[in-house]
Amino acid sequence: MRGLRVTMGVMLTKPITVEYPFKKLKFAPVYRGGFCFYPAKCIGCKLCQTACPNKVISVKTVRGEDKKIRLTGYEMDLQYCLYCGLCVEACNKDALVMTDQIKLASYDRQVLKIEIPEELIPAPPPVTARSTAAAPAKTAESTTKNVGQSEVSQ
Amino acid sequence: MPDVTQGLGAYEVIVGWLSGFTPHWLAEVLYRVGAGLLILTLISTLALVLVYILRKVMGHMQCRLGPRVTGPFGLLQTAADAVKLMQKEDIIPTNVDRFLFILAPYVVFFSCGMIFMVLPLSPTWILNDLEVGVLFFVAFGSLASFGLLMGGFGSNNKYSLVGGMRSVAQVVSYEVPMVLAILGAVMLAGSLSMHQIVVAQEGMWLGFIPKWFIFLQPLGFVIYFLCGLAETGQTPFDLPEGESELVAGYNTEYSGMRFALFFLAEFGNLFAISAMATTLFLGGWHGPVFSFLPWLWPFVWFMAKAMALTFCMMWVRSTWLRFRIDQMMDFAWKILVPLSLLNIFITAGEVAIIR
Amino acid sequence: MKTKDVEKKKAALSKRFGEAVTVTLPKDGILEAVVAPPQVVEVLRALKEDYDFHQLHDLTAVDYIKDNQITVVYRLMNLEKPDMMVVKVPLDRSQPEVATATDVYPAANWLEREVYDYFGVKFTGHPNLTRIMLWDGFEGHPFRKDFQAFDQAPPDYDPFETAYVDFSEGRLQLTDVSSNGNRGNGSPRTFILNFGPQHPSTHGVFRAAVELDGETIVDLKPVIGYLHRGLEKIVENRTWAQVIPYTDRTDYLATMNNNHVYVLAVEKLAGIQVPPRAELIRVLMAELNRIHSHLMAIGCLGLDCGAITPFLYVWREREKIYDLFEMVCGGRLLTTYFRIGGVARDLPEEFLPCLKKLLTEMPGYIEQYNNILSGNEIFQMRLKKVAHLTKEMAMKYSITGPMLRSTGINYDVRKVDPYSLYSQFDFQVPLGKNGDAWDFYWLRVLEMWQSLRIVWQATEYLEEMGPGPVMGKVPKALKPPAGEAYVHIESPKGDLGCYVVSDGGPNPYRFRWRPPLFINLQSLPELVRGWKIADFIAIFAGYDAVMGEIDR
Repeated sequence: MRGLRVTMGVMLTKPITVEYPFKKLKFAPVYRGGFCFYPAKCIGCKLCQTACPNKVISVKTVRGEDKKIRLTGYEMDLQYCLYCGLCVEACNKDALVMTDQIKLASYDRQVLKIEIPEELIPAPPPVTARSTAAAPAKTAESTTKNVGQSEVSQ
Repeated sequence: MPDVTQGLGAYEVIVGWLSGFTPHWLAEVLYRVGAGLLILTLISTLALVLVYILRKVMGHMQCRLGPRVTGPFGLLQTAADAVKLMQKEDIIPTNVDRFLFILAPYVVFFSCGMIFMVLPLSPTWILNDLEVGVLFFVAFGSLASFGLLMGGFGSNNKYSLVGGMRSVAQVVSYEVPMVLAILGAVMLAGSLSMHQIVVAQEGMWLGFIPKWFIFLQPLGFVIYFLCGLAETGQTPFDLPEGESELVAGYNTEYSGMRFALFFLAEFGNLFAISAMATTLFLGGWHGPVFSFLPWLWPFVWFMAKAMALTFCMMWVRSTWLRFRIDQMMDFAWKILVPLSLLNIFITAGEVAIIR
Repeated sequence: MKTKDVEKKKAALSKRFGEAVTVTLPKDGILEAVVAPPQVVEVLRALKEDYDFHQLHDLTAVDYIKDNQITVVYRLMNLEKPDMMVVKVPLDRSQPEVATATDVYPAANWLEREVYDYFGVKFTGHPNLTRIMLWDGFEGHPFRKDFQAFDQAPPDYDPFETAYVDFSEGRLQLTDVSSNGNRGNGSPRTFILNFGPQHPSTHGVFRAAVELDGETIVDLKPVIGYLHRGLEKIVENRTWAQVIPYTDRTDYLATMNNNHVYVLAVEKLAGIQVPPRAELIRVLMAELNRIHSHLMAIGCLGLDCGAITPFLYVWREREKIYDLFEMVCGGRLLTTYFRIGGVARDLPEEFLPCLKKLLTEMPGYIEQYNNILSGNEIFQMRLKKVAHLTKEMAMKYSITGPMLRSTGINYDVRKVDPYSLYSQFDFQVPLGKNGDAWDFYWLRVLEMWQSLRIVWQATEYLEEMGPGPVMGKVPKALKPPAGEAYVHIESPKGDLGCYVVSDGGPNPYRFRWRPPLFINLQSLPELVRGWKIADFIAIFAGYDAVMGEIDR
């Protein structure tokens, strides 16, 4: 009998569900959702590649003429990703972060193999003679690529 | 109370009109057939409405919302479900006993339809005021167990077989206390006809307590309610359709329109049991009648009372859990039958006092 | 835990068995006896009867390919004292054979089948030595170090020839109702019903072939392995720190506890110190996860018995706990929060107020569950006096966890062998009396109350302690010294253990997960015999089985 009272009580109170997808909940700032990679901040140290348990990330770098490592390609094979966040923890330049994107499924595995397109890879520094060369391309507007967002959410 | 027994006079009008161009016997037959179709429509509409109400009520009791998206407040949900079920492929597994498999949903639906024929929706809206209406109701109510057993056995599936056996055991055991509880109300009314039973509850005591039988035999009402839950297979007696044990019991192999028939029959039965309970114990269509549309108000009161009881059934469904099979049998034979016999003795005493 | 009376036991064993047994005491204090293969059963029987090691805690094997040996490791325990000992049996790698231990310890049944499946060790005399996790036609033994994987798939069955099921009396076909009708000597007609992998209430993919006589269960055969992912082998190709996300995925309802046992094992092996604030946070998270897991167990028990609403009420509380986890580490279900040497990050500011709010509301919610579920007479009738679990049966099958405590045996690893900071907390261990399904349920509710106490005390300690580091000193590329370590904790499901063997490299050499549910589940047939189908569902829900842990 007490059970009946309980259910009647609950029926008359407000439901706790949120009417998704019309209203969405806010996630915590450290939430481990989709990835966001800033090529401009990346120094090509490959710490994320070594930290990943499933070899999802592959970083392609080339050593430029000024002996500095430059990023030429960054690929993630997201079908194997565990979303554990070990790569984000390994990066000490904050070039790879996790956002609160949750629509990460797709109908085709090929869509989940993502890489940054050519135009977003920072250009090699202009080859000028020695000392007064301009600082390489750490531009003010860091070009970002929201990985795992619009392409895969179809 | 104003006199509500003036009928609409539909019989004379319609049969008279039809006799104009068809022989009289055909007009009668057509009238009856039309009335039957009307009942079928009523059952379907009721089932639609009840399914929606069930989902909403259960949703709110579980601190969530029920259907929301289909139509404003999800009102079109059942219609969408019906359309979905109708356009599904009619799958008949290979090794089933075809005759039984196909016939089972129709038997169950047929029994549900028949019991609606004697429900007194209003003083004049009773399809067939049989002299033995109560007996008719009980008889056809138990026909459903045939259908369930046919469905369970014919499905060539061990889960369905177990479900079918359980349902027969359950329905048969709970017939006895149900009939005994009904007997109490019949004794007080003095007749088996549904209309007479409702008429016998007319009037008031002390000016404000209506003369409903529930006040004279509350025990009978409780017993009837519990047995009614068991007859239709609702929690806490939903062993035949135990969702977490036997995937869907006798329902496992059915899909599409056949499943829809079982489903409709279940909700129709639910309403029929509540309607019977209001007829017997809660005074049927009695209630204050207002001058605006005086022929509609008894119907409204009847529906309101039946809906309230159906709500109670849904409430119980959300809250309680199901019995084990032997506990259920114990409950029926060791507890309910003695109580209902006791109820009859008490009612006999009351009859002696009143008459 | 250290073995008690080491010298006495060492002397006695050497005297009794002479050269066949070499007894050593490694640095973690657990006595180790290396036994030659022919004497194994004798030694085990002696240890069980004369030295009182009455529980087979774990049975596993390690492939030492460099020494050309496969070593079977038996870990024995005495629950009352408590006491632990290890028996190692090195076997020749080309033909590993040893006598079975099922006569001495019935709990060795599935464990030996698992070792046979993974390593190919033949246990002579075993009643049913078939593969348990992989399918019958699998070629090769995957956990050997020289195993090369290749594409193989299980055979396709025709719809009407479903897999045969081996009962103890012989092979019986599953689909036929009348084939095993009269089995001689007047037994009634029985039929076999398959509670298949897909079923609304088998808590995951679990199959039970149940032989029924009407509604009464005559015999039951569980079939597992549907969720087997080869966790222990995958981990051998990952570095020590990369294993932590994989440990999450075993018992996915109690992830913090899984992480906890693994990092404790590695820290014991490598001798890493953990700062006190990190330990306190770990205890807090582990207990919060215990509440979470027990809530799910209660909800599912209600759901299996037919009560659909309490299941949704417990989700309300679980969502709040999920929100707390999300605040801390970003993941809700699979948290991956602990790290070797501490925890990943410190608690954010809004964590403690939210936690306190939850703790003040929880008693009200638990009362609500009691009103609707525990207080319901039908529920009590369904569960009371159903399934009689006796002390002997519990010891025989090495059951641990709330099921063991429901028989009255007081064994909780947090009290008996305290790890982390549990010795500084004040809590009780609820015990049951009857060992019936009601006790399985009610003990979980009581344990939730005790966990709430621990969490309250932890929040108070945290506030006293003030801010501090949450990560100890750990080298970037961790290479623990060669050796092995075993740590066991009390997870919500039972006694969870983790045995790591290192060879000094960056990857674990052998990672063994001692799954409490796998070992508990061996008692299912005996516990269910004679009860009805509905009881089987209720009892199985009392095990609180999570297939991720059973199948790994």
